[in-house]
Amino acid sequence: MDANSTHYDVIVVGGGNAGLCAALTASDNKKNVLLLERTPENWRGGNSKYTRDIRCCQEKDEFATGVYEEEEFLDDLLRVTGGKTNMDLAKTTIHESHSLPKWMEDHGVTWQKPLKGTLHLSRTNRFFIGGGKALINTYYERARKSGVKILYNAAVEDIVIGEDGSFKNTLVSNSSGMKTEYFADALVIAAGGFEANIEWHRKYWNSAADNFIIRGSRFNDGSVLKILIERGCRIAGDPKQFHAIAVDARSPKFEGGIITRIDSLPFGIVVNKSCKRFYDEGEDLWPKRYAIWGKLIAEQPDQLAYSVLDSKTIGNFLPTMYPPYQANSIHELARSVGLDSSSLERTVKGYNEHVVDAGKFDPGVLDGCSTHGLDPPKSHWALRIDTPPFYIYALRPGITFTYMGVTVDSSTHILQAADGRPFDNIYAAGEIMAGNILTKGYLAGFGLTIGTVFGRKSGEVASRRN
Amino acid sequence: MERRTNFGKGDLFYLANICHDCKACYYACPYTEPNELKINIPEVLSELRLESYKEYSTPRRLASFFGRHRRNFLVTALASLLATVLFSLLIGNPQRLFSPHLELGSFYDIFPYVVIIGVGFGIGLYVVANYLFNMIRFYKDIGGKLRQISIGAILRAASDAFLHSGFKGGWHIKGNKSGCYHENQDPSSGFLTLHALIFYGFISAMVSTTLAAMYQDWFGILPPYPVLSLPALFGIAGGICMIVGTLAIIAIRRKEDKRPVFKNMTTLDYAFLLTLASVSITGFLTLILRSTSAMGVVFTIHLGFVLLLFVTAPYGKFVHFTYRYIALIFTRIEEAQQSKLD
Repeated sequence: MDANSTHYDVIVVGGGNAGLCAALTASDNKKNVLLLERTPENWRGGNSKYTRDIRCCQEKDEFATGVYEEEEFLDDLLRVTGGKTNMDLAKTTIHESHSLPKWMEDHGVTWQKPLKGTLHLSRTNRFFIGGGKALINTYYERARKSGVKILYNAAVEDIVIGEDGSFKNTLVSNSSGMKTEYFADALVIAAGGFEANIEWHRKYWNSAADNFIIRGSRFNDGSVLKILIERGCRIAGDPKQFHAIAVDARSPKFEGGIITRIDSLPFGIVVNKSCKRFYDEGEDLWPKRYAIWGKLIAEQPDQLAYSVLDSKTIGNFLPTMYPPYQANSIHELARSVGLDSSSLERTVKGYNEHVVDAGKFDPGVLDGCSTHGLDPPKSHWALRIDTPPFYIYALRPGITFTYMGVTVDSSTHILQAADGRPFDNIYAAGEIMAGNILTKGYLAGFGLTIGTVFGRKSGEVASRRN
Repeated sequence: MERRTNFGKGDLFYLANICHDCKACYYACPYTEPNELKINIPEVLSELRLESYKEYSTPRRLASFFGRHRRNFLVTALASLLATVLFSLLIGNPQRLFSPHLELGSFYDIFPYVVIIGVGFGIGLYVVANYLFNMIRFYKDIGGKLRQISIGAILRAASDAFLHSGFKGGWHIKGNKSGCYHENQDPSSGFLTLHALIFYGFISAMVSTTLAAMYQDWFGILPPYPVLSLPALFGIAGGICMIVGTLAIIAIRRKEDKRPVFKNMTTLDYAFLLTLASVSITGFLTLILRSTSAMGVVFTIHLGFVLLLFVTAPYGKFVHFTYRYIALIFTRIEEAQQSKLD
């Protein structure tokens, strides 16, 4: 295969975790693989570079503090999605997660021993040394060594599909705008969601979309998803659904990653810009709730919320990227972030009056410290906010990735919109098909699980094309 | 780092010194450039480390002076050489420096034995006292309690140092043996090898000097020692290791990825490397030329560089091993306490 070849066995669109897993799998099967990464080399890896851990079925060992079995995993998934998921694909993902640690180790990944302060995830998740950037660096290095041809600044402009429903070639532009046609027997799409495309979000959210903070890659604009939809791929998922969390309102607009996350919410009260509470901050343990707050805040006026705490609980969560605003009175605290002082004082007073000393405050369990006669209630960890200094964070919705993508079957073939039949040789993995399984809600580390399982699977199926 | 959520000055100085500067975190961090946050952990830790060297030096001004600029090192080097040369001209007939000294013990015509021992011990004691004093200050400031230091912690930390555990990339993480990242995103064991060469080379040279003193004082055997004698063999081995190690590290560092490097630390690094290289090269020349009339001059210059090495020991890069060793002890103690709690 010469350096200027345009014919490959497998073309993978997207150089994040899913694409790399597909490329590595196909390459392990001795196929000639072309990996197209649209970013420059120093921005490669998509959202994957901001990850830290992967959820998988596992036994207790030095890297996992307990057993996590398929039944419980499925149960967790069904709980966050409200029971709505493609059961076939969900079960496949969960079942095949058993083999992920070994596959990842075989491809250069090293695990990290369980730490404290990681959303109590050490039983259900596995942490890789150096986090997501080290993960993708490892995979890129392995891909390079095993002969995968990697092109950076390679944006897919068009995907040509024949009458027979099979992939023919893709038109790719480079950084100087020059376009080249690349041909292959199989095409794997792992190009991410449309999370960075504010224009696209506006179609469903109107001007609220302007207040979104995009946690990951500014390059994930869904341009390949758009092409796929235009070429007749069946859509999966709700366009308004995404994995989103509460992030500091001072975060960078794009690429803030995980460090902008705020974990203070269960330890105080959360109000909107009218100083009204709108949800039970103590409904459940934070690892089980952190993923609903993005959408909750998106639905609040101006997509703003505020987490209010006092000095009693300030030490109970991971240090934040920027320090909280601080004041010795609720009055001053409100003014520091532009809230109406008397409104905030009234809300805090009202909350404090309904706090019942029902038990011992314990952040690690559902401690029963709750409010009585308050709507919405605070079911756990409810302490009075009365001990200065007081602290406040302004929060915005931080969008990780979007759930609307393409429909796939259990062997990763993308399905045609017209009749639901699979395309012959076009496959999808990662964020662009996660919406088949994640209809709403999220489980920490699950994005990588989907990406790795379906990345490997699509690489495997694509390898058998000829 | 994962054992804390608050980072005071002591914690930061601890982290900066337990860090072995492998730079893995630079390539693993998604917030380095081009990310707008421009985080650069290795550079920050290097800067902190340099701060800690100044903070725990006595007097501070000498460390500040020495590290501030390349020319300050050159000035110091020149001063050491000049002082030694002048001293040699003053304490005896200058002619002796230009004639051969072949009989046993006539080596001490250049500098009398008592002068070498006196100055050597004097400066040596000053350096050791300076080190110990500041190591204890540092240990307390990073949160250590003197009564917590056990023989076990001391030995385990010493083993970490001698076995170069920190050069294996994520040394405390089992199974991770990747090495240091100096050129690009591919870790290598280059620094482990070269640092070990310098480390053991230096120890070998110290052994050589000690053995020579023992031969002299306990067995009454006067220099020059045959090439196959223990003092000479340890000296030759040590010298070769240090010359190869220092020059190879300089070569690597000239091509290194400069992004995660803190420039002011580099000044200190090169000063140390060049000093060690000069001591080793002039030491070798002294050995090779010891039967010639050049020996006097070469030996004087060699001692000039040795003086430079020890006079700058508390104020230059040489101090790194003291705080890192304390940090290793502290780490072992913390680990032991942590496993008692888990």
